Amino acid sequence: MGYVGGLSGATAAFGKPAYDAVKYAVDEINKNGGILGKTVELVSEDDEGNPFKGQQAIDKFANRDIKFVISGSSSAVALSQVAKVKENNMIAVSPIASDPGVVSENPRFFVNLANNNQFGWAAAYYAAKEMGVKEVIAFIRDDAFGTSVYKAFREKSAELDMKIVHEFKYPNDAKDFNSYISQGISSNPNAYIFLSGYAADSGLIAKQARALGYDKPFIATNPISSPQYYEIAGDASNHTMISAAYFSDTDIGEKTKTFIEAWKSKFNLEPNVYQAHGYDSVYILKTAIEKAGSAAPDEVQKELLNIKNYEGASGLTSFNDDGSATKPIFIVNWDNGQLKLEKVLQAGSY
Amino acid sequence: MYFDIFVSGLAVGCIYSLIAMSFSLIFRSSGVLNIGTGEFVMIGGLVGFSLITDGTQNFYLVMLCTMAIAGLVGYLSNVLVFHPVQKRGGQSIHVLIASIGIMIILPQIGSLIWGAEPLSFPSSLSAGQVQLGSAKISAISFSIILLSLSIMILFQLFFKFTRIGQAMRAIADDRVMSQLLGVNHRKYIALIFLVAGALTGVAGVLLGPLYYVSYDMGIIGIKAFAAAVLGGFGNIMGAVIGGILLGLIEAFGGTMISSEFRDLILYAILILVLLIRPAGILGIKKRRDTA
Repeated sequence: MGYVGGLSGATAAFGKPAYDAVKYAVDEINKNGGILGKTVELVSEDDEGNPFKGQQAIDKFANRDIKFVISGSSSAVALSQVAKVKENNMIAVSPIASDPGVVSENPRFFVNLANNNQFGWAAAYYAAKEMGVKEVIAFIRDDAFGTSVYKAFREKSAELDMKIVHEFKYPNDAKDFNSYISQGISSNPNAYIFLSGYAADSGLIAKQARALGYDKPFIATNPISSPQYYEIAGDASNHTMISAAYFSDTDIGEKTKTFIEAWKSKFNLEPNVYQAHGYDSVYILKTAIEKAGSAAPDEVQKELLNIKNYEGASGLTSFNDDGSATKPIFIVNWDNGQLKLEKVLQAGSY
Repeated sequence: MYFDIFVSGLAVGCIYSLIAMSFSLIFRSSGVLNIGTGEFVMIGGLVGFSLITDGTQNFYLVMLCTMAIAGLVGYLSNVLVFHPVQKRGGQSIHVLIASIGIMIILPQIGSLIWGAEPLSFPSSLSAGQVQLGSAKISAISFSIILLSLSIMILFQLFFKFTRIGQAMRAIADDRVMSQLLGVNHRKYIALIFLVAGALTGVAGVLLGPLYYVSYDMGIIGIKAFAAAVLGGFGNIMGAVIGGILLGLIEAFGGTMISSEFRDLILYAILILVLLIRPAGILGIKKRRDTA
């Protein structure tokens, strides 16, 4: 089984935790007899957040005749891998790539995470309906993830009469947002800031915004539930409302409870969204292979499409015909370094 | 609003100035174009992070220690790399290739020691605002401006009024004449690299509370190089002006025109300035003994 993801650079914020969970799951599976009686060998590649390297990794796996891949790559990198996976007759499951463009008809690339449409719609819905937000200053990370989650956020905002008063698109390596923040909050002091980026850049925006006197909550989506956001923003992260894919809570289900307890006992840490989904991605693939009774990718694909209400560490997962997953969205809030659950939004309720 | 934008642009511009000064200082005195200068900033930032998170509470002390360590790295780069290459008859191209080697090696060392993830300075350093008249500005930007300008003034005073500084200036102005007057070149050029290293080290540690530090932050060297060129390569005052201008153009250009194409606007303006004035704003300063 191949694992490809960001093990260095900005995308390591999710690529590394996902890898840790995938390795943990593979070790656990091997201890319990493997898959179809065979030991799983995990081969990993670092894509460094680079689409070209992400594609190269798939080629390297194909050269080693590896048919099953867990892709912990960002959306931008995963988009470049989809065609390669199909071309090489492989199956990939991603616990990370939430861009809706990653999935398609007759999928070989499955995603067991809620997608950017769900994150964007849910964030806009909660902001407008529960927080009473009327105006938004949007910071848009200029990559596949940022633009796609913002597109969904903007669509839902328009439906709910929440006005986007400023749009600031920034390149991936941007670090200085002070001038945009000043412009935004000076001209629209009642507006709330929406963060469409990853933990590192959003953490900087939060830190710089608080230093410029912005005292309202931030609105954000799934990557901001990463501990790296709190590490970079520090106290500025308080009151950041996030539409997240997961919340570490034993009330979510029995399998979640078991996973949290086992993870905490081994690592002495609360598992995060990437770890829960990374763990599930391996077990979902295992389930499909065992149901197919073979490691033939065509057969495994059929069984993956039949996965409905699979109960795992991240809650219930059902795959749609295009390989995307329908999952609940958890509205969580950073509070002194801890994530607190505000609300659970079921699919269709927003 | 415009005042806020000015302050944030000035803060970043001052950091560019410190790094640009390092480029110009080394080039003017030794003829070395050190493309690896940005990586000394990275070393400064990461060392600063280690010091501040390992218990050294005083930020000024951290700054001084980082300057010393980065200065040592600069000194060693000359003693172990640039001077031996030049001594063995290396031309400018060989020295440039050596500096590219430094640019590649140092981030690898950085990631081996500090890891590949962004590292954040304590948030207490970047929190808070300062009241200036009716305006409230970010305290960290204000501190960076004050500290950077103070350091630049101190360095200018050092070069003007100390014996060591005057010897360094003599080498930078006219190597042959300074040699005839008995100035020990090898010693003072090594010291120039130490001073230049210290400047980049303080730039790195000032970037920490403003953003975060990481093994790949040396890329800021490209913008600082552009600042040095804008001001007039080899001209120390030009480096100061170039850096500040670059920071302000970046801040205002991104806000007034487009955030998405901020870098495009910045480099387009740079090219325009160089088309009108190819030697930069204050002109290229070469040693009098060079052709």
